[in-house]
Amino acid sequence: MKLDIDQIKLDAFRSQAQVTFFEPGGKVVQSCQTLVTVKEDTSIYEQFVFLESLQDVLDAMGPEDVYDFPAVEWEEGTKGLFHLYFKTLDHEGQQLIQWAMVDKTEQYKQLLNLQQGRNDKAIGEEFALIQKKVAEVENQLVSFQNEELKRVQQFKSDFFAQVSHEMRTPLNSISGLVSLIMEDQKKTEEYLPALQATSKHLNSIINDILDLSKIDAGKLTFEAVDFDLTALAHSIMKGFEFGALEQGISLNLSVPDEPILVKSDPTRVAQVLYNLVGNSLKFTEKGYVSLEIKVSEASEGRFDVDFLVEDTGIGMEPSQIETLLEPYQQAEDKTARIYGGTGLGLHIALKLVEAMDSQLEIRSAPNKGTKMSFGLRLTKGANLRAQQAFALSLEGRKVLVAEDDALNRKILEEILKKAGAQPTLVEDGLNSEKALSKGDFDLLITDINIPWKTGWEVFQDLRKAGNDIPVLFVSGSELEVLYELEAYEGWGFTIKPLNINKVREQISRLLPKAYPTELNLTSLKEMISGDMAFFKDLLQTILDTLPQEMAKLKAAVSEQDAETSTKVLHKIRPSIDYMGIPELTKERHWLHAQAEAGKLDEFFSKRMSEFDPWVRQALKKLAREID
Amino acid sequence: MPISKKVILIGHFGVGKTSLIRRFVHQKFSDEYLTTIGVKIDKKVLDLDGLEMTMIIWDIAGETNQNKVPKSYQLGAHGVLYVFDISRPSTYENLHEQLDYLKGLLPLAPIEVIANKKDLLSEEEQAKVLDSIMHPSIHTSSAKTGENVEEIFQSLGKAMLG
Repeated sequence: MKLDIDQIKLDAFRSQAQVTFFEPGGKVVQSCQTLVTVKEDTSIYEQFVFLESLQDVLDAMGPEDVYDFPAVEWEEGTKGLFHLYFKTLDHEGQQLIQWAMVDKTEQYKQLLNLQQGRNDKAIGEEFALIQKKVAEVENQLVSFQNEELKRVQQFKSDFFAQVSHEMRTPLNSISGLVSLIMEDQKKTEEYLPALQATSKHLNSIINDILDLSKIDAGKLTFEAVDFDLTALAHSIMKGFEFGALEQGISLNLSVPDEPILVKSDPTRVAQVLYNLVGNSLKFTEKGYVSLEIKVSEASEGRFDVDFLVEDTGIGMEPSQIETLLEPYQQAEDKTARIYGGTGLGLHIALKLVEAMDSQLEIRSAPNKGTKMSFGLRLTKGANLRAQQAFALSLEGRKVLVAEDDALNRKILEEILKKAGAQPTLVEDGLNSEKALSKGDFDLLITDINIPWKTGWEVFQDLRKAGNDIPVLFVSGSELEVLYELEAYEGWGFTIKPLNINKVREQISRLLPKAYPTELNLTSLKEMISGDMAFFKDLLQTILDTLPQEMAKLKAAVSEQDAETSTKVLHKIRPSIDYMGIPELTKERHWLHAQAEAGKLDEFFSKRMSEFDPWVRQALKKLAREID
Repeated sequence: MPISKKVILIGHFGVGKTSLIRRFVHQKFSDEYLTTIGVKIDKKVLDLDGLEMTMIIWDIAGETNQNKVPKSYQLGAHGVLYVFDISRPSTYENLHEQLDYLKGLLPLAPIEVIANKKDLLSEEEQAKVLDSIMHPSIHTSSAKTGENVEEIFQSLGKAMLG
């Protein structure tokens, strides 16, 4: 028997293959139906989506083209994995496309396992690599954070060591000077200036540290007061004259001759200039240190002011300039050893300038000196002469001072006495309360931290009891109760060490000026023919009703209600006139005439703002009359 | 009769091509990864502003390099969706090279680039990846949530109309 290998092969694969012939355009000429049903004389493209999507390509096949699709997950007519290929052939002069389809479904699982395994492995490896990279970055970050932490800790510990040293030096000096004075009190006069200078130095170190902590905490506040920048610059340079002379350095100031009147925070501007000039002097051994201030008109009501501090000192490398951003480090540690200081001054100046919406520019080179400049746009200020003419006058006013520190008590007493006030001095909260209950004070000046009962507690009790006496708090540190105080009126605050001008400013703000309140009740007594009970009743009625009417009047004025203002000013006439204060009577008359004429203008409001406290002061006197 | 267009989805393996088609055609999603063998086709009729289009979608087995895919699979494609996995750098590291290859092969077919699996990264992380790729227009999508899937196919459909 002849072995027909081809037949055997054909028999083995017959059931796994299908062949279809179709014309370009799709019409099926002939097909077997082994795997899928194919209708003859019908377009193949209408029967199978797979072929439909290949129509352009198949119709354009050339004689040599063969398109092979080794693996197709087929779902049309049957389901499985098939190998498809297309080629053209010439059949009796007609070009046909031969589509062969071989079933590979049996291999599907094996292929799937192989490919799935390969893909899963590759994806798994990639994720493992990503995780490894992330872990590496995290480790680097932790290591960097640790380094940074160590660096900051080292800075802080160096800084505190430096600051402690800086503070210990003046403290030792103070202690030594005090011992010398105690040994020989005759030398007090001799040592006092040194004691004062050393205390100031210590004070400035502590202020620097406090400023730095404020800057760090973003708690810097700026005042807006009128001042003369020219005068400020002169006074700053004056402060350095002695030191510069001793060092043999010339100190130059270039500033316009005429006053530069601006509205800003003179303390902060001065602090920046002190720090910059002071820093230049510290690092200059020969040559000069100069401060130049140039002013130009910016716009209506504004000046552009350019500041330049220049020296011929040791200068800095660019990298050293960068370290100025580090608050706890001088440009070089050896700098600190040679020149001393906490190294905070320049950093504070830099931050203050930033807080004033500007930028401190530093140009410097080693041994060639340093130029530091910044510009500020400042609002024009008012003429100070008018303000200076107003002196604190507290003639006859009673002021209670509660302060446990003897020196501050003395300073406050002197300020008050010079202004003509009658101060009463106590040392603790309980005595403050006692004095307040006995005397009729116009103002309380109290330290916050005083023994037995704090100034804040005394204040709260006063307000609870309805006593609205103005209170000026003095304290060695920022007010911790500031937030709670905002709910109240009639208080002020000034920080120690006491600045006399600031104390005066606060007092004059808190205490309205003293108006003529000498009562003359003669005509009232005459009117009631000496009936004292009726007299008292009348006074009480005035005390009860006048404050109410005054409240109505204030409201009407603030609403520009001329009609009601006129009515109230008319209504209060008897009460005002009965008190027998001619100036007050005249003032009410003027206010009434203005209101009646509808002239509730700015001038009227200003006079009203004085009329109100005036009436209250008069009523206080009247209340005493009943007692 | 609606016009018929062949669209191919290509890209590395495991980037979510099959999932995007399942989401688009059948509104389904499965977290389980099952590799595609060779090619598998699906179709959906789209309404493109009143014009009907039968999109015949070829889901081609993923390869790290498109020149490993038999050219016959890509021939005749009217549009291409090149898909990568935004959470796997290896799937977009050779993107520009792959796109150049496809443009050479199918010069007339619009190609949309899809950053799939956006649900796996935060907005910030996605932005970083997209910035690093430096390609002017990449659609982000999530077959898992369905976000942007319909829009991407619509966009390609319109681009194919030219």
